[in-house]
Amino acid sequence: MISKPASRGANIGSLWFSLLLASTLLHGEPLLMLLNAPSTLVLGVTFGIIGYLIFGTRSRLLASELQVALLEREQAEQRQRLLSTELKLLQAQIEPHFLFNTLSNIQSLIHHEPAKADAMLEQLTVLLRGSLAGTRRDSATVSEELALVRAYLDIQQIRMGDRLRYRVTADPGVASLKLPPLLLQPLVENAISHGIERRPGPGTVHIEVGRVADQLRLTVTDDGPGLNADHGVGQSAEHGTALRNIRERLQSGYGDRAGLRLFEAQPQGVRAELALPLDEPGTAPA
Amino acid sequence: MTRVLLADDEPHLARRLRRLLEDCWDADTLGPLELLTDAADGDAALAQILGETPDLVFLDIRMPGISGIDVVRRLLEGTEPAPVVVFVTAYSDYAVAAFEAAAADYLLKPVSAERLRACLHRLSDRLGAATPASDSLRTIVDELRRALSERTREAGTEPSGPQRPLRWLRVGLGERTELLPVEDIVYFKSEQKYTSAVTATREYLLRTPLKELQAQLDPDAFWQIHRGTIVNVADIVRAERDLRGRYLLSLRRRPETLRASQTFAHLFRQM
Repeated sequence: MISKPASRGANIGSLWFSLLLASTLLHGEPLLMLLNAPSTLVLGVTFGIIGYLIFGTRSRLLASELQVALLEREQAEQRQRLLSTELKLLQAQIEPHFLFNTLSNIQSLIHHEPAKADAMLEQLTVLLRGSLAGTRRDSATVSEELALVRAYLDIQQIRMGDRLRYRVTADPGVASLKLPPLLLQPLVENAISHGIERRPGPGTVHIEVGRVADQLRLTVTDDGPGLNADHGVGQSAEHGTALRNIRERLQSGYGDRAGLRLFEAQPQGVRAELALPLDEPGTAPA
Repeated sequence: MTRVLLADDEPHLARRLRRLLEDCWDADTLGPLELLTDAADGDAALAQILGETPDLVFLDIRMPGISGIDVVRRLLEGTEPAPVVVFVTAYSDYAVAAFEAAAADYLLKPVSAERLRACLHRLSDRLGAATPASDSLRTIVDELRRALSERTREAGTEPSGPQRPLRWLRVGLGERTELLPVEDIVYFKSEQKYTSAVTATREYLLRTPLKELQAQLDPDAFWQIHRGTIVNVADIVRAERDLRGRYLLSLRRRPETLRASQTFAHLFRQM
């Protein structure tokens, strides 16, 4: 990772120079016996400078070659990361803990509250179908993404009983705007698993979609205990991974023109703000 | 009489387990069943265990407030005899591995009647025994915490505990407070009254002094390289020595270089 080729080159150059100089001075006539002492000194210095220049240049060349190699490796690593991000995205959509929990709930409800079990199964179908579709295409509309998020929240609402409330606020005219699929949903999942599930008593998730200047702005706000209140049963790992995945997808798709930022919500909780440029082919009106 | 407490934040799952328990309970070997009111979160479970002293507790792991594992850990800090505990968890590969390693009694959701019967059968000896369950529970919790923290480390996050390094920086921006993941910071630099935190694209001012920050950061991920500078190790691409033997660091996400002082030069000598 860390190297110092330039300084190593310079060191070899100066070493060579010093050796030559020293041997010339000490032995008097190392190379050319025809010459007397002062000119030997001149010769030594000249050789020294030539040597320094040769080795110095070579080390600089080596350094730039190394930098090219580093750059190439970085690019390869980035491609690799992107690929594994896509793979993780696919897996993350059907998170086993969520799936088994939902199935347990359906099983619990099926005899005594069949209507609820039925509704839950239906929403699970919507969610799975939408997630699978989302991993196979490049863009979705805001209304498709919101339908997916609603299915997810409805399932969570049955699971948690009265503990979860949610609100979706969308500006008129955003429904048909396009965005990359499955960016919003992991943020909502985080709001549930880090906000509402950790909060004793009822909590609210608020999703807002709007246009701000030339950006499509999506925010997810929860009123849970916040991000530094982590009780470490492996949830933090999932959380970090989800955010990293979103950031990597934004970076590869939009560079610095899109972003995900997190804020503290008032009086408590987390507000995640996702901003996407509207002028992109991926986000242009359908 | 065997008093049983169920702790689960999902009401439908708690109700199902309640029904299953009533169906599967063998009063001949386990004594008559008395089910207490369900606890809906970790803190309520702890309070009920201490206040109502149940003999047997079915404890969900992921609950609001404190987790099931922390409920048991806190129980063991006290002097009260602990009840027999069965952990209940939804599918999750690491949790199962941890329970296997700890030889803990656990049930997977959805809980099947057959599995619950087998579990109760195994418990019948321990429920009747005169010795408190605390000793075996202590071993189990130690083992669980070890297994889980190993697993979390593998997943790329820090272990839990009071010494857990800072993961989110709180940055004041006018009326709002932004939360920045620490890995976004390329370096911290101490300014006169503030500390500036530099990311790939921005610079934020923090009120926390550099020294105080350093104590909270993961020492493997952030190195102090100067009295006034802490750098993200993942951002160092090169360390070059100048004529005076000081190191200049090139960064992955920033164009500028950082100077490491003599005091911290040892960090780069072997690289």
